[in-house]
Amino acid sequence: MQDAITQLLDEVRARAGRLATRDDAEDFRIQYLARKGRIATLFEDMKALPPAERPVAGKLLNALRVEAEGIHAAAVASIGIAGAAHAAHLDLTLPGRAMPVGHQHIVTKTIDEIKTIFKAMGFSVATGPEIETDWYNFQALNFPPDHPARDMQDTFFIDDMRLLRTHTTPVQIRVMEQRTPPIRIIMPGRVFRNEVISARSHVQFHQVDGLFCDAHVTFADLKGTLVAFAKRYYGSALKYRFRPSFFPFTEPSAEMDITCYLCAGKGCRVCKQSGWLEILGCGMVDPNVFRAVGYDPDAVSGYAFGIGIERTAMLRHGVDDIRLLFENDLRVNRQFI
Amino acid sequence: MKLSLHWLKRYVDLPESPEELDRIVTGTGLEMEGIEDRKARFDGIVVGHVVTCEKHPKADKLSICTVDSGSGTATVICGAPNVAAGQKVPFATEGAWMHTLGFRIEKKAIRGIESSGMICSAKELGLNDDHSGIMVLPDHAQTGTPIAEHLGMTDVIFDIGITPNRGDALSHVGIARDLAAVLSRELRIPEPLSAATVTREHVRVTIKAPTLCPRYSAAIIRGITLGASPAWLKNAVESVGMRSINTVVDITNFVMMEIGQPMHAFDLSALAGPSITVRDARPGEGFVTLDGKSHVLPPSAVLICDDEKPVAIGGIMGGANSEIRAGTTDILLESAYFNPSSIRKTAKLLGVSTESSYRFERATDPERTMWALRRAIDLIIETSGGLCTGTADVYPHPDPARVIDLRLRTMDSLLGISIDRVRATEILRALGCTVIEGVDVLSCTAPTFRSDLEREVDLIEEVARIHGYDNIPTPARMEISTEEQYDDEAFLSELRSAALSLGMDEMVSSSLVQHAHAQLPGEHAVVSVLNPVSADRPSLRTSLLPSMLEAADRNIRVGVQSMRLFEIGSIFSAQPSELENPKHHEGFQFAFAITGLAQTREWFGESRPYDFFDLKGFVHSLLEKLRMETRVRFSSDAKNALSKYSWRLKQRAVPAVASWKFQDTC
Repeated sequence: MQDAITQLLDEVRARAGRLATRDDAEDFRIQYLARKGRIATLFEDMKALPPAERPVAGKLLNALRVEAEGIHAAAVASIGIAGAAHAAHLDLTLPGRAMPVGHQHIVTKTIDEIKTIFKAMGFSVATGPEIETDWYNFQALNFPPDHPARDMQDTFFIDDMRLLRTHTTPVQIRVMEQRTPPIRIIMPGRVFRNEVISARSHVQFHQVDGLFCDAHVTFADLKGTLVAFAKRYYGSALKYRFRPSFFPFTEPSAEMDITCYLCAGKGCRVCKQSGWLEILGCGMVDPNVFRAVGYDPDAVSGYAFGIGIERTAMLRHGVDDIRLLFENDLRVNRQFI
Repeated sequence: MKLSLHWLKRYVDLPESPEELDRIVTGTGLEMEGIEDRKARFDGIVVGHVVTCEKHPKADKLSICTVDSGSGTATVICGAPNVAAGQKVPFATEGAWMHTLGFRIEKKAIRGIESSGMICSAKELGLNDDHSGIMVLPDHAQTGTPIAEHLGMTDVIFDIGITPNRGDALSHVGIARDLAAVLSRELRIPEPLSAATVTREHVRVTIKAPTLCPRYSAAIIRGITLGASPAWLKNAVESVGMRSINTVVDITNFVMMEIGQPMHAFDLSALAGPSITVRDARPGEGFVTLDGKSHVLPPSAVLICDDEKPVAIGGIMGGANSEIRAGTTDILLESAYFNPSSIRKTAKLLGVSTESSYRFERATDPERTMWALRRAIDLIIETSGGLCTGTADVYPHPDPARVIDLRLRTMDSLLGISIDRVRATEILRALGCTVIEGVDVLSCTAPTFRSDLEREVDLIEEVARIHGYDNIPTPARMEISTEEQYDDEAFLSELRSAALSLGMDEMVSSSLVQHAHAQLPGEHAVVSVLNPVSADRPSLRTSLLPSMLEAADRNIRVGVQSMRLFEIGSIFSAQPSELENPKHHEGFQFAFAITGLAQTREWFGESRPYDFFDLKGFVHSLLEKLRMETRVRFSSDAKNALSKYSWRLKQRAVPAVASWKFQDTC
């Protein structure tokens, strides 16, 4: 028995230097290391030995197996990946080593998409503080004190002077104070409303406001710009309508609807059977707003608009509960890229 | 606000279908929030004629009837005790959906005999609670007529959302005026007669608070008999969602819903005489309103008083001490104009909102108080009898007429379309303006019911609105801008892209947090809101990390074990900073956290948890993406309460909090 082991060991060592290809290595493995290979056969033979001799033989056999495995592993490693493609036994269906992929949040993603479209139309991006004063958030935007229009925006107050902005529109006041026309900006950011949190409303959400002011800006310019935006964002086949509305800081004011893309205007749960989806509010800048920043309303005109980000994102991605957006459950967030 | 189509048709011809009206109403800037077609509830139910009626052979209480529905006869099993041959009955044909019962009428066998249809009780039609037997219709009812038509239940109810600038639209006449303008049709406003007015007594009205109450009109009607309202009145007030109470209350509500003027009726016998004084509320003065609630009045409140006591909070609600009740024969009727901003303030401070306050705070028409009074006198005498024995009208300082010039060229250059003088004049007149046409200018006197029309641009909007926004062109080509283009968010966008490119997931959390999550050790004082939605989240975050830890925790609980999170957001602290914001600092923070496994166990290797050096590596890689890597230095930080280690970018220390926090969960 011991002789047989020694002899096999010599043979194995002799072949060690001659394993040049995948096939050589595989042949070596089958001959010696496979389940019915010659080393395994010797283990079988060992069972026939008297019990006293088995430990010695076992030890020698184990040493032989370890050495043979080492020779095989070294050969495979040195043949390397170069040989892999030719070898049927490297399983190419095994999963690859994936690189982690980062997922952008649906809210910032939607803002980016909207920014991209307006930047291509020549708009700059301006930002402002989330803690605002009554002047910037309301008065300069033509909300008179004690006017029912303030009810449209339930406000979080910090003290007599300061509040959490209820829209990103105050940024237009800040920019107009600093610059002279022409001004063509969009203003993304977070806004706050003191409302009960539900599937449809949250105390915080995001907006992208827009402003273009210059000499001779018209309502037709407003329509042209916003229709161009809507076609790029929602698809060029869309149908739209502008209907009169009311915002203190624009006159005339409008809301823009597009045909519901879920039901193609036939009426469904999402569009409340109307066939239309409201996508933004807009209008011509009210002369009182221009007066508040020291512009002459007879020399300058302009349009402004505001897009609700969460609403846009939820409609587009079929999310029906706004709270999901701020829970940061990665099982949800990772569905958007 | 609910509006009845039948009611609207009193003032303007509207042959259009509800769907067409929906489109037209929406086009004028009124938001259609719902349309309820009353007759839809009775689809498939017609006037039926019971031709034969025999006992069911297998059931004592059932009858077998043959019913003619106008388009054929059907065999029906009926369980009502009062069914008999020859009757005209409401008959639900096969396939009708029974609104009140929640099922569809189908053919089915009752005790072996097939029944197809149902003879209905008044309760089953949803008309009242009578279920003692089937409803028997008069003999002249025409067999086969839809039951909705027979009962006159063919109204369509519109639910319209009104923007805060359109106080004038809070009535049927107000909406009818817009529709008449858009459709170029005549608006018919009834002219009150007040034929039954005889001036026999002096009604004394004294206004001591002319700013809060610029006009007060009143009338005395004596000898009325209060009773249930006639069907037309009951149907009208109920159709717009109000409860029918008695003739006088219903008429005051009818006139309010007709023209928008809220009114109030006092029981004259509860007043100290036919005399009214309008005055400011005194500091701390209390009052019990007719709903039984007692209020402490704010200084903005205006009180309606008799010679001895207050009897109503002006513009908000009458008092319990002078409410009309069964047996009232003499009334004092109020029709006034109150200052919108004072009513709004008072209603808000009292926490009361009524149909009256809702209209007064959006400005009613100061010139309509007498019209409404005379209209109500007519209708009260028509429904309740009595005689108007005296009226009063005090209006010390009438509002001057608002004359506004509309320059046609200004309008064209704001709208980007040329609207000719004739069309603009026609629109403005239809809306109630008096227009004097000049060559380039329309000189308009705004109607008193449109307090929102103050400036040229307000008139431009009216013309555009009625002309139709869809008729303003949408240019296919526009000028491009050669102005300088800038992006205040450029750096934040770059930072976000860098983090995403390193395989991090972005989160967006709430700015308002628990106070304990804002008051972090070693951080600055916290900014909180005075009126949080939930008492447990009043504070503005001073760091993004507490929310990030919460998010990580929540994810681990739902089985997401490994994550790399980042957030970019604003943080706030109470401290002096720039001159314009002396009391707080607002700035952006970038935060990130990693937890779980850097590598899971796979065929090629063992798993490995994230450790500190992954975090440090992220910082390096991120800064490399931002081309800032040469400027960073790491050091241990024994002083920081949250972190034992920090990195330094230029001179600013940035704590490496997240790594240590997450060691427990790795």
